[in-house]
Amino acid sequence: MTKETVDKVVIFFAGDSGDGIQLTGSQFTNTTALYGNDLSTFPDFPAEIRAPQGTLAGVSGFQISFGSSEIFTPGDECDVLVVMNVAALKANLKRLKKQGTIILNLDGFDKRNLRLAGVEEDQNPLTDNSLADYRVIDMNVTKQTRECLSEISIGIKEKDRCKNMFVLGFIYWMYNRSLEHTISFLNEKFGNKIDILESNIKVLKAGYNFANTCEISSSRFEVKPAKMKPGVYRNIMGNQATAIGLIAASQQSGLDLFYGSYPITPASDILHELSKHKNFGVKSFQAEDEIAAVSASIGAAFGGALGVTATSGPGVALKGEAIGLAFMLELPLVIINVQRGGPSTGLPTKTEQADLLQAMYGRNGEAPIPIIAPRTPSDCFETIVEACRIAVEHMTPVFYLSDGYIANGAEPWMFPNVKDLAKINVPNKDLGGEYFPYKRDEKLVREWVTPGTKGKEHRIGGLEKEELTGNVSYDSDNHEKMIKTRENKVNLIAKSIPLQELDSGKEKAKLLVLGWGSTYGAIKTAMKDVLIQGYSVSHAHIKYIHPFPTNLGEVIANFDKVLVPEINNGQLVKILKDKYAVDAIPFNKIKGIPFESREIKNRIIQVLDGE
Amino acid sequence: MENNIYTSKDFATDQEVRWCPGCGDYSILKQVQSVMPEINVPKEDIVFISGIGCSSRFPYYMNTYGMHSIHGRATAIASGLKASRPDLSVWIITGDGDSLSIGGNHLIHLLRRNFDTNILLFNNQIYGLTKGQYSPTSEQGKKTKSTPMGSIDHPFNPLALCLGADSTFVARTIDRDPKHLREMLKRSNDHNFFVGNLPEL
Repeated sequence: MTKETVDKVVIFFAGDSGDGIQLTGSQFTNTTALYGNDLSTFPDFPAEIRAPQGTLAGVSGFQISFGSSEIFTPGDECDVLVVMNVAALKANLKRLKKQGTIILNLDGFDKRNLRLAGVEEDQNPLTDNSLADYRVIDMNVTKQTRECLSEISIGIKEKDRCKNMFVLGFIYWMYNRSLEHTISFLNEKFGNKIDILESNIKVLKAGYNFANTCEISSSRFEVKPAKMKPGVYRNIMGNQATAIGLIAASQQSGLDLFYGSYPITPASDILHELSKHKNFGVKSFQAEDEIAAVSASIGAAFGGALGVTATSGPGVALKGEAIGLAFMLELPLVIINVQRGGPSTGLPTKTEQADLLQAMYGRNGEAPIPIIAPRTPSDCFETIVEACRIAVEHMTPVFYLSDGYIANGAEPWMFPNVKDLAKINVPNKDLGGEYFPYKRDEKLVREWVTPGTKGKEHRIGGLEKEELTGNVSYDSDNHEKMIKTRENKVNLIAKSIPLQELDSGKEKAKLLVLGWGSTYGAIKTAMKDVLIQGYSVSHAHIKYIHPFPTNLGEVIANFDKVLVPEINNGQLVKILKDKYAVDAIPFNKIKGIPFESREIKNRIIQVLDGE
Repeated sequence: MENNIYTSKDFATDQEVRWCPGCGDYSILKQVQSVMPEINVPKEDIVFISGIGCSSRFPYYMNTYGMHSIHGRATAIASGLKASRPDLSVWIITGDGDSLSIGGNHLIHLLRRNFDTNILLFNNQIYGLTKGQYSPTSEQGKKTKSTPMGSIDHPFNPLALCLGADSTFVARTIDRDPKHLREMLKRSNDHNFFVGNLPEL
């Protein structure tokens, strides 16, 4: 038997949304992370909990790229496509590279499955020669699973639910992975259901042994651990990193965390994660609606808590008025938007970056709100801490724009050291002299006085307020002055954020690729190739979108052309044009899926060679 | 703390009270200010939260902590405040439009969660601040600017609504009976919920 060493592998698992594909993918991910590979994942699942079985609409997928060197994206083309039925193959064959491997469940290619997938019997891909360009490993996953469990007295449905373990065991053997992590996971999950636990472990081992003994899998692959900075790592998804970062910000500021949220895809996992951490003084509040979620967080902030609310685009639309109130009151508030495909209900389980202009402008009146965006799953940790810092230190609501891609995607993350985290300074120091609620310091920030503070009782509200005293004022000059003061306060945040740096490339070149948020991995991967090929191009990735870093204009001015890739119809590019009058070239993809790095690469080459 | 270290004057602010002449809200303000010294809570630990409407000006006139928020959301804001600061005495000021129409959802959920807050629902059966449209408690057939031929909607009863949401204390009182009003405010403070149903004539 040969054991081939490869640097990087991309696997795509696909099956019915009831086949346990996400679990298979995440188990393989965790085992791979423990093995020491660098990795990046991308789950892709239907919006329906149980879409019609066997149909194209019901296909759930999970992509993982792992390797011995640095990995920045879940990969463009797949090396291996694992499919549980015809529909899964039909929906995903386009992802597989020529000569790639297909591992398929023969039992998912019967008459019934062909009919459900809308495939004529004479076009069965197993017999019509359409898979000739690929290496096909077929097996009777369902039958073998049932046979393996013939002695165990559980129902046929329960038996069939174990079939993902057969596939997982098979893949573990192919990539030389240990079963240990998954077995301990199963023990934890099914500990008291002995039959189910035994069945899953039995099928997992059966898949592994089947791969070991059968002749169809003629080769085994070795993907050596990646050389990563020494330290303690864990595998982390963006939503988890966001949740943990919120707890860190609470500790670093000494403020109790109050998290008000209403269930919405793809933000709910932050609520799930935080509700496990009451030991850190976290209060998670599942509100009756989006408006109540943000309002309760504002109430908590008035009481002196670190108030946070999270949602996705439709929820932000509902929260708009209350966000304006927080802006007007000048209370700290963090608004997390895990963006998804819009408009309206749009594509709930797909990714998009189309809520930037909503964050920038989506309120009544003049209400500029700082905006910050994480770029990778693990970067969510640092970025949410920074969002909390800006909110608290500058007494303002802050938008944090994540998206479905990095929220559900995973990568290894080295634990940060608490002593490396910045302290968040709560603006509660007496500004001196007589107390007024809207007296300001040199950053135009008011003092955060919370109920319980004797002698500083005061009233705040959404009506325009007189400068200094905060009393209601309808004076026209005062209104204009207050609008400008609040705007200046937000603009002054630029002084407390880092200057814009280049991620790769030279300070001056022909082309600057300017991205934000989750496009980072695809751009970085593309940049490696084009720089090796000698193209005159650089990459900068903006984290602070409002206000921009003070030097961004100078950075841009060093380039002949600016290319702005976005998963939307061109939003950052509009803000750049408005602010710097730069004739930037938009590069947009609005398909509910992230850029592939080759798409970015091809566009860069096209722009530069097209001169 | 010692009893009655405050007088009702300690709860007045320097802001000019701006309700229409003869409005029942003056009486309610006066009674609330007179009850506050009797509840034995330091005034820095008292918070008044209101939404939008005539009555929602109330916090500006109370020398405690306060927030004049947005339409219908006082109950939601107070929920977050009370959840994070159970030590505070939280009073919600709202009206029939504010808490029974635009903020109806938050009202029933605050009751369901049984937060220890006091809700003063000023029910004048009309939208006063927007100059006279019918409200969820306006009687059927009421002629208003938006219902010139009489409203066709059936009003609901706030007390029945609150009981339906499992409120544990509900009372109705009236601005023109200060003694009863004061008594209900005190009993509300001793318990956890209060509806002041105050028709303004």
